[in-house]
Parts: sequence; structure tokens; C-alpha cells
Amino acid sequence: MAKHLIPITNGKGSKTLTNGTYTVEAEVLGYDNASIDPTSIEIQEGNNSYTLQIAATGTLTLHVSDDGTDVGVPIIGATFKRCDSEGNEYGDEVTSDDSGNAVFNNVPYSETETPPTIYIKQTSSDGEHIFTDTLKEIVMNTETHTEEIVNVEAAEREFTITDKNYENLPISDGNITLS
Amino acid sequence: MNYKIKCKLYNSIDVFLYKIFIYNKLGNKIIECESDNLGITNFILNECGTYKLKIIPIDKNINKYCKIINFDKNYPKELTFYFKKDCLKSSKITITLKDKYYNLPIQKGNIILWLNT
Repeated sequence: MAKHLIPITNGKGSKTLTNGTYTVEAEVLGYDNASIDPTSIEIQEGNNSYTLQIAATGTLTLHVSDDGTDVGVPIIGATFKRCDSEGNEYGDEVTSDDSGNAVFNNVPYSETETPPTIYIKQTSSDGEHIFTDTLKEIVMNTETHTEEIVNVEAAEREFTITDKNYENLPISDGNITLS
Repeated sequence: MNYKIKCKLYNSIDVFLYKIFIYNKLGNKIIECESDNLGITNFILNECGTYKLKIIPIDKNINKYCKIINFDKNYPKELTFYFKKDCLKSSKITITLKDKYYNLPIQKGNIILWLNT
């Protein structure tokens, strides 16, 4: 069988090939190369674009707390997304649970060579803690990895509510809801 | 006059199936027939002259073939056309490789395609 190697950069690669049925193999660091899908493609006249998928098996846990340590107060409901190096978002949003853990499954890792960088962006916190939406770069050298994320407590704000028709008369009891 | 056309892959005993179209010098299609399982067509021309022969392989991997032929009294009654391997069609293809679970473009890697023969 004739072998044709197509280098892939940023998700794309091109090559001039004859029509025919080809068996597909992958060489992607950090990914499970056996997961390439499909494993066979038929290159036909008039169709010059083919999409393949590959999966990884690493697990990345983002532990969100108020001090960025494993013993800090966990932040529940913080959300994260995977991104490319440009900050474009991909996949489903992942939310931190009662322990403050947001878990990304199927992420690339390598224990022997430098695997691809994983880009993560936080998209929200619990409303009472401050987060940054700058891209975080993570490199996984083990199949499972935990990264500490800090969301410090927001500053305390004071609200004054007075009677609209009686100047400066404080409202004695009640609640204000901000959403 | 009876003519017989055979089409074969060059340097191969393989035959392939095709349709043959014959046009007169006015450009009118006068014959359309399909090869048999041995890759052979037989057709009859009522008179000598210049005709355009178009062969369209059923297998899309093989190029179409056109030729102007002067079918006169000296022209052989049995013709074999050879299609070279290098007339297999090729085109520039683009592979898009994405992460299965995140739809994320794969930053770097290789795809290897093995042509099944």
C-alpha cells in the first residue's frame, strides 16, 4: 500500500492524492491515536474536504477556591470552557461542583514528551467571588492533573434604601435582590 | 462496417467497464452503448468518415477519453485503447482534524493515509 503523510497544523492539512479508498492512521502527541475516526475514507471526485476526529484520555480538574489552595473555601458554580490559543471557545461549559472541582475529561497529555498546551478560560464565578477571564495555559504530563484556581472574595458593598416620598427616611426592614 | 473497441488499463490484464459515445462531424450523437463484462463494445458505422469517440469509464477513478477518428476503409476493425495508471484522477484534498469531544482543532500532528490496492 502507498503511504501518504499529511502534516496537520491548527486542525488543517492538505495533500494532492488520487481518488481511492484509504486507511487512516494518526500521529498526534497527547491523543489516543487508535481513536481516529473514521479509520477509512474514500476520496472521491468532487469532494476535496474530509473531517476526522480524535480523542484524548486525560482528566484535568480545576479546583476553584477563595485562596487558590486545596484547603481554601470551594467556589461552587464557577464555569470554564476550553479554548484555542486565540481564545475561541469550544465544547460544553464545565461547572465547579460542591467541592469546587470543574472536571474536563478527554484532554491530551503525555508523560514522555511535551504535549499540546490546553487553554482554559473561566467564564463566570458564583457571583460573590472575583474571577479573571484571561486564558490559562496548562500542560498535562500525567493522565490526571489538578490545577488550583483562585477566585478571591469580592469586596463588601453597602446599600442604603430610603423612602422615596419622605426624604432620608430609612426603610426599617426588607430585602434587596440583585441579579 | 462493424467495429470492436476494447479498453484496458496499461500494463494490466484488468479490463474496466465504460460507456462509449460516437458523434458525427456535425456533433450529433449517433451511437451510445455500454461495454460488456469483458470491457468490449461492438458498434456499426453505416459509412466511413470522421467521428468523435468519447469513452466514459464507469469507474470514476479513470479519466474520460476523447479522440477524433477517421473511420475509413483502412481503419482497423478492432481497436484497443490503453488507459495508463497515471491517468487516475488526483486532486488536492484538505483534512480537518478535530478533537472528538470538544470540536477543537488539533494543534499539531500527522495523518497518514494508506491507499488500499
